[in-house]
Amino acid sequence: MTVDIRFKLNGSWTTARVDGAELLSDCLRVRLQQTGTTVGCNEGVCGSCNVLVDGNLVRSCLMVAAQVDGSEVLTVEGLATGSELSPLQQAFIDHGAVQCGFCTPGLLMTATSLLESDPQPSEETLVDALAGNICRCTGYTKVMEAVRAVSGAFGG
Amino acid sequence: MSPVDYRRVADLDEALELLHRYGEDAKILAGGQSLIPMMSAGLLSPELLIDINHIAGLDSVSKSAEGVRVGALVRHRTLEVPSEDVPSGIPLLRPAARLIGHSAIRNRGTLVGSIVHADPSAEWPAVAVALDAQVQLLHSAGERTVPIADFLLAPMTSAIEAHELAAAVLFPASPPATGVSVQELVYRHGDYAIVGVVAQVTLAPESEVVDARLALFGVDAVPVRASEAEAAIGEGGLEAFEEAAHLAPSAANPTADATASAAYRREMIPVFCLRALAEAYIDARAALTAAMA
Repeated sequence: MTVDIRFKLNGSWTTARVDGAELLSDCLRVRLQQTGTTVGCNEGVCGSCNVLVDGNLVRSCLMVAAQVDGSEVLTVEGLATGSELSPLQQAFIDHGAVQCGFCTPGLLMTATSLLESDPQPSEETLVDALAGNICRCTGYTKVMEAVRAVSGAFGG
Repeated sequence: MSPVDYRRVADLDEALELLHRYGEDAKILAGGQSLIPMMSAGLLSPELLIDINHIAGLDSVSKSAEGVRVGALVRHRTLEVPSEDVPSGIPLLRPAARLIGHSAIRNRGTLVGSIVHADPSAEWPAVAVALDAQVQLLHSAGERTVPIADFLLAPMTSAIEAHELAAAVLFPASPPATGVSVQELVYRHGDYAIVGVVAQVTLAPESEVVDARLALFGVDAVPVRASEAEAAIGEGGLEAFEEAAHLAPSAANPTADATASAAYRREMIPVFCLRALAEAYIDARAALTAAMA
């Protein structure tokens, strides 16, 4: 049984006809061809699939697409303005915080969400926030450097 | 996955009517943080998802003379941060909420959903057991309220029936001069507990311990009260904390799994009980000072 949904995706109203149990992650990636969001575990553990729904960080593999009817969704594709990367994205590049890149979209969404609510997070807060994203490559050091580099630049 | 129907209901009557009609073929979708991964893993195949997230009034935490009522849509996140929307009165709620998963999970997951899910390693069922909470269940023809001890039956199994919706969990009010602690043995922050302890200590004006509650999780089919330990503290107060910690394992029946052996769990129970009791006592002293100020 399908459901017609209409939601704002990265600022643009988008419609889709989805199965009742179709995951938000699958709807974004497969149906809407927005493959920036990655799916690592499909059980909510790894954080790769993190997106923002109505301003809140959520696991897109732990929501069904039908739930976002009427909502605003922000994915990694929505962080840049045209061809201009967000300060956080640029910092990830400048500080070498990307290796294989699989976890990167999730990390960017987590860090974006964190800095929106806490522009100058403490070390403990930063570690705690990033602990919800599994990164097998970087050891997190460069990721934390990148986030620290832009902390204070948000929410001003 | 075969096609699944989805209905976003506007009110409780609509949800209950659908449950009455579909029974076991329908599942309530609130937080979805346990339901959806179980569907992805092929463990559940409902024909219908009843999305209750837009029913007004289910997301309140309200205080009365009896205690605090936590509605079905109250997210872990709401209980984690200090807020005027969350009345004080159940000090255990905040430390428990902070230990659940990660922020993305806490933004969606609900306390009531966690208790219905009845994972033996989860925090909320253990908090409910420690505090003698009750679960309010609604169905299309009426309602019932079930004490937590009768509600949690086995791992992932609660007493909820297919046509019922858990509307709220009711926590009796905690007395003043009450301190709390939730301690977990985990490999990583956010993991399910290998051994978990919920402790609450209440003091009289001269700092004597007048009530102590100790609940263990991750070490049995359901969370358990360490009754012998609690009784020892009832007799001996603060001086009996260490003895109580060593009596606690007898309340549990830990089993082995991929993360730890039964023997290791059994050995860690007193360690974490003592930490929890000590932290709860210190917290209670602070609460006593604040209450008398």
